[in-house]
Amino acid sequence: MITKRKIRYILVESSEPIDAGANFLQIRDGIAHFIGELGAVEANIRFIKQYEPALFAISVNRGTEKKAVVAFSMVKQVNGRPIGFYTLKTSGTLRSISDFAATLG
Amino acid sequence: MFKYYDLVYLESIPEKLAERLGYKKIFTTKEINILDSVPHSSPAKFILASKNPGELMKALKSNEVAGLVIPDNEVIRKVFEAARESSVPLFITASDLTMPSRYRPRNIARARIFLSQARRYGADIGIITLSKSKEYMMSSMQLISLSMAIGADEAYARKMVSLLETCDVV
Repeated sequence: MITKRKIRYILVESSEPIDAGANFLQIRDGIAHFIGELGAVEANIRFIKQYEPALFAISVNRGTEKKAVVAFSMVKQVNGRPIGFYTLKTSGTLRSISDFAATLG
Repeated sequence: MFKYYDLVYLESIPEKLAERLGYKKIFTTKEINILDSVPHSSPAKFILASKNPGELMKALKSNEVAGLVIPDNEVIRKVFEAARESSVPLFITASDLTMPSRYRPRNIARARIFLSQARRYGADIGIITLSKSKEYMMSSMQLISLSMAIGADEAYARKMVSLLETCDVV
């Protein structure tokens, strides 16, 4: 039986503008450095959408979002460039995340 | 419902950024003094950051101390007991736990022990980022999740992030 993947979306802001889609492997590596490769596989972190140069959404498997939120605090550089990530909101629907992102604009 | 606060080493923080990160206010060192020794007289509330048990005990006798930060989260039993008696909170520094270094696992493990021991002795524990740059700032959600990662339950983690409110500095 195929079961539907239950996911949570996380809205992330970065301290500097970043193309999160193009740099997502590096961001994911930073997260995996903290939660481990197995943790990253369990979380199944995926880039979803870039809203603004420093605002993007990712998805993780439900139940792993708290771990992902902490792991984002641990990533302090991408491609050798200092950067910080702040998680602003988690939600079960992308619409809710998009609506929230629109209010930040 | 809790209101969340943070304290950073930066000069100023735009109010809009604090709101985005989920805080009622992010204090700067212009608003709350962070000292490494107890002053003879202090016109305003201060937070003492010291590992010296003598200084920490001296600060706990001062009316102006708003909280204590013990670098490296060293467990000092008599300070925990005195903090409980005087209702002065102890703060864990989150930026020390997120700083990439080979000592990060050790720092996180120490913070876990610090939190459990302080709670055992009945002292109030809070968490602040004390970040020196924008990269080390965190949202309130991240601080709550980090508090949970070092052993707090969700209700206590929320209380930890709002503890600056009880220090008479708000």
